[in-house]
Amino acid sequence: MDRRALDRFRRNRGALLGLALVAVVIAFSFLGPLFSSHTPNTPDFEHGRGPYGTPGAPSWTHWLGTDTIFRDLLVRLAHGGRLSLEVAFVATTIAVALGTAIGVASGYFKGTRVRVDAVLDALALPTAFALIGASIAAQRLVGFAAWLFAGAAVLRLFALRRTASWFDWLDGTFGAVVAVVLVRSGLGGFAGNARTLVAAGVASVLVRALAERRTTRKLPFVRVDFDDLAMRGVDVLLAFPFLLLVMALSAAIERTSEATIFLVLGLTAWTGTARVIRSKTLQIRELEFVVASRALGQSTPHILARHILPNVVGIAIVLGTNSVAGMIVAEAALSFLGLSLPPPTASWGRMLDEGRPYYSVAPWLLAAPAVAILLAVLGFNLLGEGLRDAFDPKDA
Amino acid sequence: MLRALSSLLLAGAVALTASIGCQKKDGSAPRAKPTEGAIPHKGGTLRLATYSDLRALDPAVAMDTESAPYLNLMFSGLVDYDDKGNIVGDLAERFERSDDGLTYRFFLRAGVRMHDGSELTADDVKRSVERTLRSETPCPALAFYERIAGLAEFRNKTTPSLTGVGVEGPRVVTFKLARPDATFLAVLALPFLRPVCKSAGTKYDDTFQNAPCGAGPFRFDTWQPGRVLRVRRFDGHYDVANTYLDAIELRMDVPRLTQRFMLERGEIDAILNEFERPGAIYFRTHPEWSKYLTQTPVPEFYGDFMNVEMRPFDDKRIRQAVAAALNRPNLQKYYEGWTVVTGHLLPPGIPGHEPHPPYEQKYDLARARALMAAAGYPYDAKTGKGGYPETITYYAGEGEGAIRYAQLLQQDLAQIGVRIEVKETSFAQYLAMAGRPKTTAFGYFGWLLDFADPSDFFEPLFSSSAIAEEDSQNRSFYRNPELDALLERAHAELDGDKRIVMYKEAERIVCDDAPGVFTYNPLKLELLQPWTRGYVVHPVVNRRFKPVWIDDVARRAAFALLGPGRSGAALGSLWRRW
Repeated sequence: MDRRALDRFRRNRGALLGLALVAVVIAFSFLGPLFSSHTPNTPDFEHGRGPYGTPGAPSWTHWLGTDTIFRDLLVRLAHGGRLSLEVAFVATTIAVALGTAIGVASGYFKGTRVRVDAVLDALALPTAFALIGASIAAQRLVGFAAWLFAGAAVLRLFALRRTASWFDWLDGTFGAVVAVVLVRSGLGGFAGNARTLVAAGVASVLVRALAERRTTRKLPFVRVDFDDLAMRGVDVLLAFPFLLLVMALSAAIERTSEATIFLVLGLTAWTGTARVIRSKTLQIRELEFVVASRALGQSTPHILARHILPNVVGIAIVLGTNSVAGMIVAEAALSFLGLSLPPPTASWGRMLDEGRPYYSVAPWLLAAPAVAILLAVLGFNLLGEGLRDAFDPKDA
Repeated sequence: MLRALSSLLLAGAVALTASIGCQKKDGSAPRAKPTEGAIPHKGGTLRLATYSDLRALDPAVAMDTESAPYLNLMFSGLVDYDDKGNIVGDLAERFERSDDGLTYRFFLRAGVRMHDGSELTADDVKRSVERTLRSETPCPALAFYERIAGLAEFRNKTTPSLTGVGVEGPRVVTFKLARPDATFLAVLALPFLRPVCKSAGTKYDDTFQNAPCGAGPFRFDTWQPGRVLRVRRFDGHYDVANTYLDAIELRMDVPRLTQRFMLERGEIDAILNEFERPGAIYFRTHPEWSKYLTQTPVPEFYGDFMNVEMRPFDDKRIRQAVAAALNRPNLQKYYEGWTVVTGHLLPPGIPGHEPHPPYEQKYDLARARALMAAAGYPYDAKTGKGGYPETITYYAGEGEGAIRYAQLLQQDLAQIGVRIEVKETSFAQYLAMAGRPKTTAFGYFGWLLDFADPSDFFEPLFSSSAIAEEDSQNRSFYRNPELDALLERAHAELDGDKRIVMYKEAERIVCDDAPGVFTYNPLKLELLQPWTRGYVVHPVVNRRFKPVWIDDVARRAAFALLGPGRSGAALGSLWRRW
C-alpha cells in the first residue's frame, strides 16, 4: 500500500471503524476463551440452570448466561467466532486465489484460440478423478462425478470438426459411451461402482492417448477463444444462486468437516472475483508497459508475474475482504440449517437456531450470535469499502 | 455513510424493542371461551399439524406413531377399545372364545358398508388378513400374529390360503390359534389386519396407500406426503350418528414453534404433544391457556438402542458401560417437569411397572470406566486419551429437543472415552435406517404402547422374532434364547400374577444385557382450543379423534370481528392492539 493510499485510509472514519470492529471480533474469538474458566461443550447443571430447566440468565458465573443445555454462552460465542473466521478466511483465500488465476488467464488470453478438447481434458479429467477420489472417501457424490465426466465426454464429441478422421469419431464415441456407462453405474448406488468408475476412466484415457498419436497430422478439434470459454463457464456457475448452490452441495455431502465447508464455499464463490479480475486484466494488458515488455520479447509467465499480477493484487484484497463478510453469512446460514459441522461444535448460525424457540424466555440466546454476526459482517464490509476507497480513489 | 449506517442501526434497535414490547402487551390469550351448555353437533374440520411426516397409509405395513391415529379413522376393525380401554366388538357385533382359548368366532354386523359402497363380508375379512400376513408383504408386526394356526404354511406357500382364518357364513369369521395367546384380541385391535376394500386386492401393493379404502368412520380425501393429509366423514359408517367432524386435516412438516403461533392465531385446533420447551412453559404458566392444557403420564419410554451386531456394541461390557455412563441425575435436572428419567423398560401404566426396581440401569461413572477398561478400552480422564478409538455416529431424532438430549449423551459418553458424532435424522429417514441390519450402530429409540401389556414392550423390541431385513422393530438386533423362551412362556400364561413375575425377570435381563439405554418416560402435553371438544386422552389408543366435535359458536366468536381466515385473524389482532 503506497503512502497516499494509506493516508486516504487513515482519513476514512468508516474504514477505521471497520478495522477496529474486525480487530475486536478477531481478538474476542481467538483470545477470549483464554480468559474464561468455562469450556464450550460442558453443561453446568449447578449454576447455569434457570427455572423449569430454562437457560440460565446472565450472572457472575456466566456473564452472558447459558444456552439451552446450560453451557456458557460467552465461551461458545467466542468458539463460534473462531470457526466462523477460520471458515471465512480459508474459503476466501481459496475463492480469491482461484478467481484471480482464472480471471487473469481469461483476460490475458482473450483472443487466443485454444482447442476445446484440450481445455475440457485439462479441466474435467482432473476434476472428475479428484471427485471420484473424494467420493470414494466420502461415499457420496459418485453420481455427480460421473455426470461431470460424462458431460465432458459428450461435449468433446460436439467439439469434433466435420473433417475429423474415423479414429477421432471412434475415440469420441467411445468416450461418450463410457461416460453413459459411468453415469448409469454412478447413479445406481455406491457399492463397488467406484472401482468400475476408475477402471473405465483409465481405459478411456488410454484409448484417447492412442487416438492422439494417430491424429497428429491434422487438427480435428474446434478452436475457441479461451476468454469466451472461461467466461461462459463462469456464466453457467453464476446462474445458480450462491447460497442455494452452497446449501445443495453441503446437503449432498454425508459427513461434514471443516475441510468440506472450506471447499464448498471456496470452490463456489470464485466466479465474481474472476469476472472483476478479468476486466482489470483486460485494461492492464493494453497499457504501454505491458505492450512494451511484450515487444521486448519477455516471456508470458514473466509478464504475468511482474506486470499483471501486482496490478490486480489490490483489487483482489478488496474483493477478498468483502468476501469474508459474505462467507461469515454463508457459514452462519449453513449451520443455521444444520448443514455445517455437527453438534456440539459451537457456531453462530447453530446458536441462532438453538436460541430461536427461546426468544420469549431467554432473548439473549438469540441476541448474542445475532449481534456477533452483525458486528463481524459490518466490520469486514466497512474495512473492504475503506480499502477500495484507499486503493481506487476514482470510484469513491 | 457512517451517519446513514448508525441511523439504520438505531432504527433497527427501535423496531426490535418495539416488537418485543408489543409481544409482552399483546400476550396471546385464547380467542374464545367454550360455549356454555353446548352439545355435540355435526360440522367443522379439525385442523391439526405435526412437525413429522407420515410414512405409510396402508394398514398392512404402517407402524409409525404418526399415521396410526389416521389409520384408526379410515379402517375399522373387528374389535376396538371402549373409552375405558376394554376390548369390545366394532365391525363384529359380538364375538366368542372357545374354552381352550384356541378359537375365536366373530359375528359381523349386518349392513356394514365400506368406503367403495360395497358391503363388508367375511370373505373381505379373510382376504385382508391374508393380504397383510402374506410373505411378500413387508408387515413390520408379524410377530404379533405368529400364533394364528397355519401361518407358517401360508407364508412358505405350502397352503394357498391361511387355514387359521375360516369363513363360516357371509358374516361369520373364525380365527384358530396354534397356541393360546393372552394378547390375541389386543393385537387384533391394531390396524394391521383391518378389512380393506376390494381395490386393495389380495396382495400388498404400495399404490394402495394413494387411495386407502376401508370401513372406518372417516374416508380418505387427499394425501400429499410431507404436506397435508385430509380425511372426511364417511356417512355410510354404521356409527355415523356419533361421528361429528366433517373432516380432519393434518398439516405435516410444521415446526413446533410455528404450531404455537398457529394455535395462538386460531389456525389449528390443538397442539398434540408437539411443544418446544419455552412454548410449553409459556402455556403451562398462562392463566387462561393452562385451563385447556392436559398433562398425562404416558406408557411410553425412550432411550438409545445399541446394535449388538455392530462394533463396538457386540461387546456386552461396552453396552453396560454406556448404560452406566448416562448421568441420570443431571438428566432429571434438565428434564424437570417434562419427563421422568428412568433406568428400565416398563413405563408407568403398564402392568409390572415399578418406579425403581433394584436391577434398573444406574449412573455409575467408576463402574462404567472399569467396564471400558475390562473391554480393552481403558480411558484416562485426566489426559482424555484412550477409550474406544473410533467415532460412533449417533442417530438423533428430529428437532431441538432430540439434538439437545444427544449432546448431553455425547458429553456423558465422552467421560468414558466413547466419542459420538450426532446426526439429526428425519423420522422417515430414521425408520428406514434403524430398521436395517448392520446399518445403524447407535440411535434413539422409543416405544409407544399398542396395547397395555408388557409383552408389547418386550417382544417387538428385544425378541429375536422381531428381527427383520427391513423395518426391524428390534433395532438392537438383539438375540437371546433365554429371553425368547421366557417371553414365550409369559405370552401364553393366562394367570396374571405369574405373568408379571416372568416379565420382571425379563426386564432384569434386558437391563443387565443392555441392548439399549433406558432413559425416560415422557409426560404427554396436549393443548386444545376452547372450541375443540370431546377429545379425551385414551388409556390405550394414542390420539382418538372420532369423538371430537367443534363448538361452532365459540369458533365463530373467535373470528367474529373480521371474519374467519388468516387475513381476518391478522386484522383482528391489529384491531385489538389499537
